[in-house]
Amino acid sequence: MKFFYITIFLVSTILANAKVVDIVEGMSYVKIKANGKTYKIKRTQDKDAYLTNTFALTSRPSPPFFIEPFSIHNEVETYGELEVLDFLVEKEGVFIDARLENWYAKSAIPAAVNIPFKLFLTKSKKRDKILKKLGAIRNEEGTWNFTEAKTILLYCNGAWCGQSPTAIKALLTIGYPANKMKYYRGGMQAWQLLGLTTIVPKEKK
Amino acid sequence: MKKLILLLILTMGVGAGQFDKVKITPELSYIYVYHKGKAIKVHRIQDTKHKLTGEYAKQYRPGQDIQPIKMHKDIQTIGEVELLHFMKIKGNNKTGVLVDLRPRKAHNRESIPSSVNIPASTKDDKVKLEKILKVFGAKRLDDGSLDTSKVMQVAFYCNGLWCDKAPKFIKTFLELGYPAEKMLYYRGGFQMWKILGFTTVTNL
Amino acid sequence: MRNLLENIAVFLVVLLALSIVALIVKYNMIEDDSLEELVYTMPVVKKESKKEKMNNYLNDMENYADVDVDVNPTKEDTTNRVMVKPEQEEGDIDNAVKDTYVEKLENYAENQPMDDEIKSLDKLQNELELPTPEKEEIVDEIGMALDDIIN
Repeated sequence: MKFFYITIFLVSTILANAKVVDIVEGMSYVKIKANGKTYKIKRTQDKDAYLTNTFALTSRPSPPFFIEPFSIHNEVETYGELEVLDFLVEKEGVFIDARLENWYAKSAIPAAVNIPFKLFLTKSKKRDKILKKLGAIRNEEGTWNFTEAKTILLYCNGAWCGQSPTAIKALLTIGYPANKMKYYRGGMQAWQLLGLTTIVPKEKK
Repeated sequence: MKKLILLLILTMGVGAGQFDKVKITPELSYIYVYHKGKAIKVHRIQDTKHKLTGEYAKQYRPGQDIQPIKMHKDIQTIGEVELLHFMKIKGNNKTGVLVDLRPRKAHNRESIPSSVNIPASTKDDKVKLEKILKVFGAKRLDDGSLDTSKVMQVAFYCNGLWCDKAPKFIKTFLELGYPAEKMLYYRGGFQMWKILGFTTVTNL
Repeated sequence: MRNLLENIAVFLVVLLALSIVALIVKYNMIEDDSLEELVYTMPVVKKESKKEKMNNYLNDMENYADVDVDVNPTKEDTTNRVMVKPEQEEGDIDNAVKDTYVEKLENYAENQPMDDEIKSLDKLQNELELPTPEKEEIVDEIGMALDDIIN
């Protein structure tokens, strides 16, 4: 009996002293509800964790990969990880993974919906559908009315990837309001480098 | 004659980095900066199979919170492209300086070319801070106020997205009166610099 | 006499003709087909239309595949690293911000015990220290000034 109590005491002291890696002080994880699922996002607690996958590669060929400027447009805000988490918790809008499907299928940030950037580039039925889902309304003359458009947050692979900037620039030319678009420049690379939770999306049937 | 001219253009192209496999921007493959009097070519690793390893590839960072994208409403956060521009235009003609806030040992082991070292602990030493302000071009007037009309532009960096040394030091400088528009925060820090394959220097 | 004048005249004409030819060759005043062709092929980077650019970009992006390699993650990365030995001497600005003798003593007492790495770095620096007979121009005033403030 004594032994049992001692074990409980030891275990609880160990747990109390274990240093939990926080996202920010006092917040060790964030719970997100999106697309009908609940996600728990936290930082890695494994002290031997290193970034070793393809996101540790330093040099992607140019073209098509270049280092992207910090700011795409003076009214399109660049976001960091904390701002992304805020966006998701406060449900401020639609979180979009702008990469091509093969990238998204390998791993993605929880709660993101995959809209490959190339769908924004040319006029198509698919693009119209997407724009409507984002809150744009088709005018009689064929132009778009974005007054009810949702705020969207886009990301791609990281500072060396131009997929989300290309999507944002394309949307700007269509007329999507700049202040309703946010750019998470760090992308998958920064997200993984910080040891934040990622998911492998289930295959679409 | 025609062939000669073409060859000349090709060599100029190679020299200008036009045919580099891994560039920085479509127009830029490298810049030259001065580090302790020596000209250094800052460019990216060309090996597309190269991965970052070592200290800066670690994912486990206990006690080190992720930093917000903007550390103060008036202070601009910059990325690599803006930093290189700053190093080339302002750094090389001495109107700007890049400051590494990591400990002296870490800075000497490996740092961004053209950066100078102010260990973050210096923010608590008022005497040294005063001297640093002077080096950056600030003048302490007789009435005690600080004349910052001719100060240099300063870009600060530390370890990376999870390091608070730079934000804390910049805040100290702001409290001292250094103008916000003359300070830049390279949030990516040494970690992003390394993971993008940029040249680093070791101070012997 | 006449002969002499004639000869001089001929000589001048020949000289003039040669100089004209030389100038033409020097300043490429002759237009020829091969030169025109060169003008058209000269821009090494072709000017593409926006659409072509976007198509090329898409193609490159879609055809790209990451190459994965196995690496030892704990190994220190020394690629693209330049070793720099400081090349200047101290100047007026450094003397102005140097620690006083007393401050240096105080700082020495407070200093953390040096570990092996710093010792080896110092040793390397001492080994590489070469005598500089002439005073060189100060190029890194700021770095030197800051170094002296911090230490």
